Amino acid sequence: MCRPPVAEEGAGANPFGPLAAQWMDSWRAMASAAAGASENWSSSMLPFIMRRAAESGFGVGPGNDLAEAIERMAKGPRLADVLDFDRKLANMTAAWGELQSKLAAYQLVASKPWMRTAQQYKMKMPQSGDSPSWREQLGEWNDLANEELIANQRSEEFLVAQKQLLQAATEFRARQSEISDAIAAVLGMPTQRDFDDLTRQITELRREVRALERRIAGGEA
Amino acid sequence: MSPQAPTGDGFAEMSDKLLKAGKLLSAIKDADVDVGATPKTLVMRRDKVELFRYTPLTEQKVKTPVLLAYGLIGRYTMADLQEDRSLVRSLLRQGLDLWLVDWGQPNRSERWLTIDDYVDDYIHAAVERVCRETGHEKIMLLGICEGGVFTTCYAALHPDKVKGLVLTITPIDFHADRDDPDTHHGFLNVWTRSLDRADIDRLVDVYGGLPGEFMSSVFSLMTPMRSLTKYNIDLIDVIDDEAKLMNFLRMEKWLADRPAHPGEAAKQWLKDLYQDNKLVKGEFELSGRRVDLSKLTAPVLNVFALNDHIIPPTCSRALGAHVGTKDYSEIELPGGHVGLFVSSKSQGSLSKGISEWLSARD
Repeated sequence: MCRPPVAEEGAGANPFGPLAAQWMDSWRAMASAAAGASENWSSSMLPFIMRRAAESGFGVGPGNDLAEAIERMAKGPRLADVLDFDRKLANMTAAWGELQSKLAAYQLVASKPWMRTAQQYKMKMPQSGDSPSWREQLGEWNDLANEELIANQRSEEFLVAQKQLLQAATEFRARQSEISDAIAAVLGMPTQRDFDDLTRQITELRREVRALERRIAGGEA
Repeated sequence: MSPQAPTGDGFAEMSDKLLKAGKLLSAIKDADVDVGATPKTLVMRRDKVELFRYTPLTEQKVKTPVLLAYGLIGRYTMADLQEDRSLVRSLLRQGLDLWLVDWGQPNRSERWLTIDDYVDDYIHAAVERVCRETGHEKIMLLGICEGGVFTTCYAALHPDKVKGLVLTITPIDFHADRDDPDTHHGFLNVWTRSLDRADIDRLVDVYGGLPGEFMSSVFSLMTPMRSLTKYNIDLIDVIDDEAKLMNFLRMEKWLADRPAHPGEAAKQWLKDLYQDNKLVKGEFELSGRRVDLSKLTAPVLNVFALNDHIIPPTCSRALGAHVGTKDYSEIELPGGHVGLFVSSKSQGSLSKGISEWLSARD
């Protein structure tokens, strides 16, 4: 299994490094398993059938479908909805875990230039004679750090880490939206998707009206 | 002798200044920090887009109206930050009839708007209205950054409406950052190319646009230490000088005013232009028509900043090799992307260069 880089062995090594790496591995495995389970659930027909079965009272009812449907519309969520909501929550939790994992990986890459800056700064520090003010020292530090940070940002390692962080953050946001959409649907409120559909229709309608206006104006001219 | 320790009088002084900064900032009201304050009149509103005409500050010397178009990343107020640092005011003082198309505050409602809409609908409607109001058949366009790309496309697609095109800090060849040897330049190009196309689609679909705060964070990455020292060292440095403090606050207000970039337009901007570089390849299409830069037959003035870390000068300069007009000029100025508009040094040279060029083609 892929492990994050561990601090060098020896006197300066972080004693918690291997432990942290082990923890990260276990944590990732759990998050991955959770994500896999929820993905399997959502891509299967099981939630669909569960909902359908729940709607029919799992075959144990008086057969009064219309009355039940009306009652269900009034009462809101039932067992299948709760299961589906649980699944969405699990998805969101898995996405949150993945986001934290990618954030940790990103921060590891983003921390490297600071270490290089510290090394360079130590080498550049005046040994004797000079007595620069703290502002001059800070200026020196800033210049070195700026160069290192900019160089790091252009590295493949940084670009990959930030891309994966962005992907994880977007995924988490998408899973959050699933939850809010589910709540909105239960409460009979428009969802984000409904809003997007509506604005799309308005935008397209506006384009058609304006094209028509131009055609008419062109014809009149 | 060891270097002076960063403790003692220096930090005591800093602490005092921090306290003073806190008191001062709590006394300054939001309304005191006015940006984009040059007087103007609303002439037309189309959805959230507004067309304004600036109130003249002197006798009109250039007869042809000039329409200013900013991009969708940030707002036009950069060109009118404060009275003594305002391209808008400087141009008005040179006797221009200046108009502004303001995109407003796009949000998720504008998710489906494309660059086609901005160029062929909003700019076109604004140009027609300016023509109608002033009695001109053609006008001058002044584009800034992404707005420069929009006006370039408009001028190529509607040459009958454009008498001249002025571009400032405008990317044309989105891959020409590779020709810029300065490693501080072009991170935006590198970053965008590092993304998968599906990432961009997903980002826009989930957020309904390109969130303004997200783009702000990308811009902050480009000047990392400046971003880190801004609210401590930089702020403390200006706290004793009211004028500098107000400059600082106005700049902050402009930076914070960053609406979401409309979604589908953001996909075109990042994928078609930044990733695929379709504009210089002659493959960029708007409203079913190919944007052919050789159809840019109106005179063109291309202004760019030599230390522009956001739009590398090589990306702007590339236009010269593609335009169809022989009346093509460049002005290269020292400074950066924003500094070109807000620094006291560039104020005179930028507006003077533009107004002289416009006068000669009026």
